[in-house]
Amino acid sequence: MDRSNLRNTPDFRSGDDALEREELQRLAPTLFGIPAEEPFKVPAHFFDRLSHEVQAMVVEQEKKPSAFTWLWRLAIATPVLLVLLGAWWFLRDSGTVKNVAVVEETSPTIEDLDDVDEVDLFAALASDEAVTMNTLGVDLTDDELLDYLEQEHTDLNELISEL
Amino acid sequence: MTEHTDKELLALFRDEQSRNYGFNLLMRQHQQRLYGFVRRMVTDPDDAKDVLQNTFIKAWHGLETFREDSQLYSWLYRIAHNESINHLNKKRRMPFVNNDTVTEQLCGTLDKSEHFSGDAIQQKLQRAVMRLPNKQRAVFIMKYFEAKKYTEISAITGTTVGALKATYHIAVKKIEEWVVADQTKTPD
Repeated sequence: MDRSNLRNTPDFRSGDDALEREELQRLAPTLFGIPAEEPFKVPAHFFDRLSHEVQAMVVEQEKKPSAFTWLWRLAIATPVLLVLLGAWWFLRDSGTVKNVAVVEETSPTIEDLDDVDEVDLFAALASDEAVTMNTLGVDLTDDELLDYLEQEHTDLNELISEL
Repeated sequence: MTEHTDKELLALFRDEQSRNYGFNLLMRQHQQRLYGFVRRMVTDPDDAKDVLQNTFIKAWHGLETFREDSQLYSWLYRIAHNESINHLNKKRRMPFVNNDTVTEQLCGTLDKSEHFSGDAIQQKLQRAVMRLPNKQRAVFIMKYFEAKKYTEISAITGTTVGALKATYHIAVKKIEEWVVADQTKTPD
């Protein structure tokens, strides 16, 4: 064991001003009379090793994040993930129903063409884009289209000249 | 050992190349004085080592952003003070442990000759110091054993000078009373 002196100031208890010393003597005469000693022993080579130990601990801490950090992250991430999964599942189900509905609605027949505005049709045919009847929300074969034009007494030559 | 200024130590620490060397110098310059305070607070040498290690680890992480509006020593002392108080509070919060049990545990060190070399009156004084509440004990140690100025203690503890004077006055009266009572109970 090393008997290093732990006193923080060389003038132990003399740093107080005279007034403080007088007050201590008056207030606590027994305490004032106790000799100023350092009774705690310091383990051998304690101060030689401490800085190396602390630096080793710092390096260790910097190498791997503490388990607490990971647990904390996990504790936050888990409920968020569950909420997101729940939301995805819910929306996924709703989407399926909507798709089914769309499929049922889009089965055009020749009667559906009554709903098609001719102006829209001509505009669509005149556009630069590759146009299909799908653009207008119906799906017709060439024969069906010809039948429709015939039924409407549309002159094909006039139509072509307008294009 | 050559004393280095705060500026020198900080410059060494902030340079990646000399960081470890700078921190090593800083520790060697302040460790003994800090240990003296911590050891008086927690008494057990193993506990004192843990508290001091934590103090310097926190210092390492805080030095990068340390603002030089206070002295390095006061800043380190403040960390050591807080760490000591936290350590003692943790002990008191353990299940099935009350204040008396903790005080007895702390005093246990005084009975071991490998840790304590004081005579009977020193032992009585230390036992009385152990009985003080944590914050009162810290103020008593800084003022009585280390002869710090109230302004310095105020910077460390964040307590006003007036409150510190009152705390020290109360602590001194308690210690006197307990030491006298102890002497009467078990005369040498």
